[in-house]
Amino acid sequence: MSLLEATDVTVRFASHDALGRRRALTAVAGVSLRLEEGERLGVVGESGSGKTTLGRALLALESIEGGAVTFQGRNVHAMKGSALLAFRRRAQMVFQDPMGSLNPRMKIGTALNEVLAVHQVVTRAERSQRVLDLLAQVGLTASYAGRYPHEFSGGQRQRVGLARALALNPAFIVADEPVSALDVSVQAQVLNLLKDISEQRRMACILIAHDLAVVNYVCQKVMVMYQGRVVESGSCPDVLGQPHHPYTQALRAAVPDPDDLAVRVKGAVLDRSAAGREDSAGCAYAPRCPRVCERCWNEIPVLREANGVGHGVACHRVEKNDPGV
Amino acid sequence: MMDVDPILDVRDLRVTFRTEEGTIRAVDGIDLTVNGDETVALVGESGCGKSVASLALARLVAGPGLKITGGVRLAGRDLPGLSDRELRRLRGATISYIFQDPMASLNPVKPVGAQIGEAIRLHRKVSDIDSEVVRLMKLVGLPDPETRRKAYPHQFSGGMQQRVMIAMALACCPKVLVADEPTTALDVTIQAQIFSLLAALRAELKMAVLLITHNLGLVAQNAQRVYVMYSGRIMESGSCEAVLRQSAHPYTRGLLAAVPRLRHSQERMTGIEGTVPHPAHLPSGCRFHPRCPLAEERCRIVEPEMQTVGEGHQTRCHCWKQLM
Repeated sequence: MSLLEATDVTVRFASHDALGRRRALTAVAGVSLRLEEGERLGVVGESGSGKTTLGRALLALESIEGGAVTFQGRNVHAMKGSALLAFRRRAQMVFQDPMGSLNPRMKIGTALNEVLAVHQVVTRAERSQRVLDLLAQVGLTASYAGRYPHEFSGGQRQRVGLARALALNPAFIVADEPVSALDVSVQAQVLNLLKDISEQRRMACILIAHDLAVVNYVCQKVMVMYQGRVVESGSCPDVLGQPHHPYTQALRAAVPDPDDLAVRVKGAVLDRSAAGREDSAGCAYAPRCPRVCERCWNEIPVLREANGVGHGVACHRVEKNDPGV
Repeated sequence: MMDVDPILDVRDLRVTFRTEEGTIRAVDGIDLTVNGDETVALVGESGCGKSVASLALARLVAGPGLKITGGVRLAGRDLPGLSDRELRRLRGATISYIFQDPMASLNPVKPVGAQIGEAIRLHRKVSDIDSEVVRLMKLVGLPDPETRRKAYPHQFSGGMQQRVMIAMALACCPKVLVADEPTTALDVTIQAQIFSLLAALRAELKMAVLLITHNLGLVAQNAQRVYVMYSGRIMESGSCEAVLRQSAHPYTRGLLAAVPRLRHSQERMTGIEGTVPHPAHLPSGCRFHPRCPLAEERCRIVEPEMQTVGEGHQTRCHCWKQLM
């Protein structure tokens, strides 16, 4: 049994189109994944690809319309009361904007204390010591406990967000773009911290990011999402080293590398505004795809093993073993 | 090489603010040149003063107890001597800017075409502004300009909004375009498009680009020369080849080591320990010494001068020879 298993998860939101007519927006369409203890999975994609919604759905912070998410064999969306509280203790989220998730009028020490108090994991007497331990774990000294969120720098706030998520010693966390707002030097510190803690505690982690290089550094596995669907998944060396899906190839080519001087990436990818509607009959990537064929417009490709075990690609052109892909 | 006057020549630029905490030296004596046909990058972490420095070029900074000193020579004219009126004529016409968040710079209740037209009307004598707007929108790759010019900013995607900003910035054929983190808010694929557009425009319009960024990948890809800024000072400068391949400053080396790479797997990124010093409480000696792995006694006492490493390559470090 895997620690976390998602089968065919679908999330829809009520929305309206340009003419004000009501229509459902499918944010996540039939996503399946499996996460073992201590495993780190990266979820990448552009804004609007559904990666954050997926993360929230896995933690039962978003209700799902289809599929199921199980944590240690139990359906998380069916949990209520004490079972749900127990799940919240084991599964936590690190939010993208730490300032938005901290109470500006609460000292950091108090905020961390509250987490421990709500879940009653330690006695009242032990709490303040535990808060200091947590701060130390993320590289902050005891003096920070008495400060307010605005007195922290962006990197420090993100550490606090991590400390809050780690307070209950979770078995699984979802980290949503934890470093995208940080400077590179601080980013490296936070990523190292995340990696170390995951390794020390065998804590599983889903890292939501738009930066492929960040995922490559932290995670063993990666899943590429496009308009709510998984287009490619597998181990980082497979997917990021030899991407098969044209979208993953485009994403990878768009990452500028400081080692490559004056190598301009090809800007061949069309703007998102040219992309098709998510309810079109075919592949959502077809309008932007350089390798589009007739079948792509009519039939949604399913995720199939392409290049060895565990490397899945959802593309008609790859299925056909087209040369040159 | 022929000695041509640079289009932008900055000498000992200083920007200070007087606050309750003391004098903040946001920009502390930077020298910078940009030639007419190049992209020059100014890189550094947040709070290093790169944005303030770029805004100070056109006297666009405001703040408590502000003082700007030093020489800025732009297209053969000395800016410090100009009147407000003359400065106003220069902004947007000779030097223009694009910023990180296009939505924050665009007027949400005015069609984009009217906003692009405004720049033309204020700076140039053009009778048919509408067709000029259409020409500019075509130039920056905005589809269907005849109808889309009547659309409002929220009807465009982030990448398209940034194209609108670029069209506005180019309305008066500037000699220098300052791009301050122009793609930080955008997806990588859109970022790639914006930068190929900027490169094409730079060649076509023969303008210089000053790129302000913290992304060394973008620097490698787009700039010919780079200035690395830390705590209000230039720490290293030179060609991208020299600075990114054979850096002679531990700060630059630290930044490079902190960038995750896609092409090869890294066991562990080193990063840079500590944080940027508060601008009101700068460390003694070299400003980087509290975070520097090479720091020795003299680094704590004497601030290093700019030293020449090679042709056009300079560093502000006592110990640079240890790195080479």
